[in-house]
Amino acid sequence: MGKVRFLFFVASMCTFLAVTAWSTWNYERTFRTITTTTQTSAWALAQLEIDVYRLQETLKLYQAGHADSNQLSLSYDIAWNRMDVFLTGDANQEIRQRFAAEALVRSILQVLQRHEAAITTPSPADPQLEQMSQELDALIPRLRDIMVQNFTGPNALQESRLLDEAKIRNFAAIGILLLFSLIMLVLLFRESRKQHFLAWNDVLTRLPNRAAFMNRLSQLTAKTDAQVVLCLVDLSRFKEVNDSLGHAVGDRLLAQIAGQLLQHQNEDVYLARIGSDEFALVMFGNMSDYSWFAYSRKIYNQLERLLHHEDPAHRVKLNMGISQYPQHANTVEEMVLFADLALASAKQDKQLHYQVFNRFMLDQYQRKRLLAGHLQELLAEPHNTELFLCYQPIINISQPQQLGVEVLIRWEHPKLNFINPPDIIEIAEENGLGEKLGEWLFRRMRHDIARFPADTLCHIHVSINLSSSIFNQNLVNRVSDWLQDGPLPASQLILELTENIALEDVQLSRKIFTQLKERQIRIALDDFGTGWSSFSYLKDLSFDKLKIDKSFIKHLDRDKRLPLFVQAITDLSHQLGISVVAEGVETESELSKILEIGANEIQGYYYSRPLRAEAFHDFAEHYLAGNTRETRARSDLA
Amino acid sequence: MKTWRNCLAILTLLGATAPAIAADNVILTIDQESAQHHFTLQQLAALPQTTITTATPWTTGQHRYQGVAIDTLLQRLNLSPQVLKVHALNDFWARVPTSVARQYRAILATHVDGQPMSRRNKGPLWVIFPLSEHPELNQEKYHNYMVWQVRTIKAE
Repeated sequence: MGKVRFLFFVASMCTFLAVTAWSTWNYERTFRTITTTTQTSAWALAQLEIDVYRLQETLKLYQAGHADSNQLSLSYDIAWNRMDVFLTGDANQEIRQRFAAEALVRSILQVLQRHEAAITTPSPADPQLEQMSQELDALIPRLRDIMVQNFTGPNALQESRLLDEAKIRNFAAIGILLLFSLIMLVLLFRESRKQHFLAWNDVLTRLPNRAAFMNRLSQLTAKTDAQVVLCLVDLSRFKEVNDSLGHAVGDRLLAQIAGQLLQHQNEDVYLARIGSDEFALVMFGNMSDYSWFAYSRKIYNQLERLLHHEDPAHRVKLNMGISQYPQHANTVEEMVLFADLALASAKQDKQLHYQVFNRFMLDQYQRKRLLAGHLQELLAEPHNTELFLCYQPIINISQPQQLGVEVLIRWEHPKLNFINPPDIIEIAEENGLGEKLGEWLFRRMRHDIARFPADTLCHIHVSINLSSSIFNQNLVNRVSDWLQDGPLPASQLILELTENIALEDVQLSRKIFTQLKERQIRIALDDFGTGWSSFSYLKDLSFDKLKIDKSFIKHLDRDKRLPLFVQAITDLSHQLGISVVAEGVETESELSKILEIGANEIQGYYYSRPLRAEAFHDFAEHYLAGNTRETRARSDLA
Repeated sequence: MKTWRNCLAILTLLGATAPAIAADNVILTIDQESAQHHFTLQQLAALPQTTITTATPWTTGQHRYQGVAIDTLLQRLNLSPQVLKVHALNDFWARVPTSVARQYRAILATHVDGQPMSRRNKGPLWVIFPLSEHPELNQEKYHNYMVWQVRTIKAE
C-alpha cells in the first residue's frame, strides 16, 4: 500500500511538472506564433501591395507615354510572380486564409491574366489596358483595407482568438494542476490524520495511548473543583501468554479486554492503553463521586471472567490500582504515581488484586526511594560500616575438616535501623544496582577473609547469593575478575541462586552452569521447597548442592509428614549426586532428625547464628582446630 | 466559365503562359568594383550544372531546380568575396555570406523540373538552398537568402 501511494505521489509530481512545462511551452509558442505571423503576413501583404501598385503606376505611365513596354512587362511579371508566391506554399498560408485575402488576390491575378494579351503586345491606346487599369483601381483599395485590417481591428481579433485558445489550454492545464493539487492535499490530509491518530492512539486496540492519556488527565484536572478517579488495570505475567501461545493470541486477548472496557464506557469514563499490558480507566464528573467504586469492581469482575475464559491456564492475573484527585494527589503526575503504587501493592497482595491508594503505600515508596539513594552511595565506598557482611557457618557432617559459610548482607541504617536483606536485594535490583551490589559483596568478602591465616582459609568454602541481574552471560567473567588477586580460590566458592532465577531461561542457565563448572565454581539451589520445587529441573540443571528451606526443617522433629518430604528430597538429590544442605536447624532434636534423614550439611542457629567477620574468624579457628585435631587423632588411632 | 478559370489557374501555377526568356538576353550581371561580368541564359547553361531537389515555403511539393552553383560561378570569375549582395528585379536585395552559399552549394537556378524559369515564376534566376536536405536551413535567416528574380550580384 505504501509503495502504491509512493508511486502515486511520484506520478502526481511528474504530472505536475509536465503540465507546468507544457503550459509554459504552450504560452511561449502562442506568443511566438502571434508575433511571427504578424511579421510575415505584414511583410507579404506590403510587398504584394507595392508590386500591384507599381504595376498600376507603370500602366498609367505607359498609357501616358512615359514608360516603355519592357518596363510594363517587367512590372506585370513581378506583380504576377508576387501573387503566385502569395497563393502558393506554406509561407503565406496563414494570411491567405484571413480577411478573404486569397479570394481578393485571386481576382487581382485574374485581372492580370485576362489582359495578358494587352501586355504581351502592348499599345498605349489599347482600351484593354484602360480596362485593366480601371479594374485594378477597383481592387487596390480592398488590398489596402486588408493590410490595415491585418495590423489593426480584425487582426487583433485574430490574435485574441489565439490568445483565447491559449488561455483555454492554460485553464485546462491549471485545472489539471488544481485537480492534482487537490488529490495531493486530500492524500496529505488523510495521511496527517492517520499520523495524528497513530501519535495519540494505540494501533492494536485503537484506544488512546499514554501521551493522549496524560493530556486528557491534565485537561480533566485543570477545571476547578475537578474530581478524577484513576484506575490502572494491569495484567501480570501477561508475557507468558505471548511467550507460550504467540503474540497473535496475546494481541487478541488485549483487543478483547479493550472491547470489554469499551462496552462499559460512558461519557464520564475515559479509556486508554498506557502500556503493553496496562490500561487506564479515568472516571470523572458524576462517576467520580461514589459510583466509581462499584463501576471499577464491576469491570474488575468482568475482566476476571474474560481472563478466566481466555487463559485456561490462569497464568495472567488482573490487578487494579486506584488513586483519587484531589483526595490523594495534587497533580496529574502524583495521581499516576499513586495509582501505580496502589497497583504495585495489588500485585503483591495474594488475596485481593484490587487496591486503592493509601498513605502507607507512599511511605513505603518514599522509604525505598530514600534507601535506594543511600544504597548507591554506600556501594561506592567499599569499607563503610553501615553496610557489612555476616557469615553463617555451614557444618559439613562427613567432612569436619571443612567449614562452609554463607555470606549474608546486613544494613544497619542510622535512622531506619535494620534493613531486611531481601529488601536490600529488591531495592538494588529495582534501581539497577544489582551488579554493583555483587561487586561490593565480593570485594568486602575478600577484604574480610584476607586476615584469615592461609591454613584456616584453605578449609573454608564460601557461599554467596546471586541476585537475578548478575545471573547472565557475563557472570563467569565477572566472578573470575572479582576473585582475582585472591585470597579465595574459585574451587572454594559456591554460588547460591533461587529457582526463579535459574528457571527464567533454562537454556541460558545451562550454558552459565557449564562455564562455572569449567572454572570449578559450584552452584547451590537455594530455598528449595518454597517455589515450584519441581524435581524435573534438577535433572536439567546440574546443581552441586540443594538447600532445603528452613520451613521444612522447623518442627521437623514434631511433624509427621514433613520428614517424608525431606526424606524424599534428600534421597532423590543423593541419587542425582547432589549434596543436601539443611537450612534453619535450631534444636538438637531437629538436628538428630535431619541427620537421620541423611542431610550432608547443616546450617542454622543450632551451630551458629550469622556472625560478624571477626567472630566468624574465631569460630572457624576454633572449629577447624578441634576437628583437625580430632581427624588427626582418629587417623592416629587407625 | 468555371472550367475556364480552373484551367487558367493550373496554367498559371505551371508558369506555362509566361513568355520564355530569350536565350541571348543578359539576365545576370556580376558586379565587381573593377569590372562587370554579364551572362546570358545560354552562357549560364553552358557552365557546369548543379541540381537541387527541394521544397520551399513558397511552392507546393518537391521540385527539381537546376542551375550553376554560386561557388562554381565565383571560381570561374576568380572571385572570392566575403558577401554577395544579391539584387532582384523588384529592387529587393539580400546579403548572402559567400561561405554559407559555398557550404550548402547554393545555386542560381535557371530551370525548375527541366523548364526554364519565367519571371512570373521567380525566374529567370532563383537562389536555391537545399532546404529539404538540410532542415537546419529552414528558418527565416536562410529564407531571406533565397532571392528570386535575381538580376545583379555585387561581390563585396
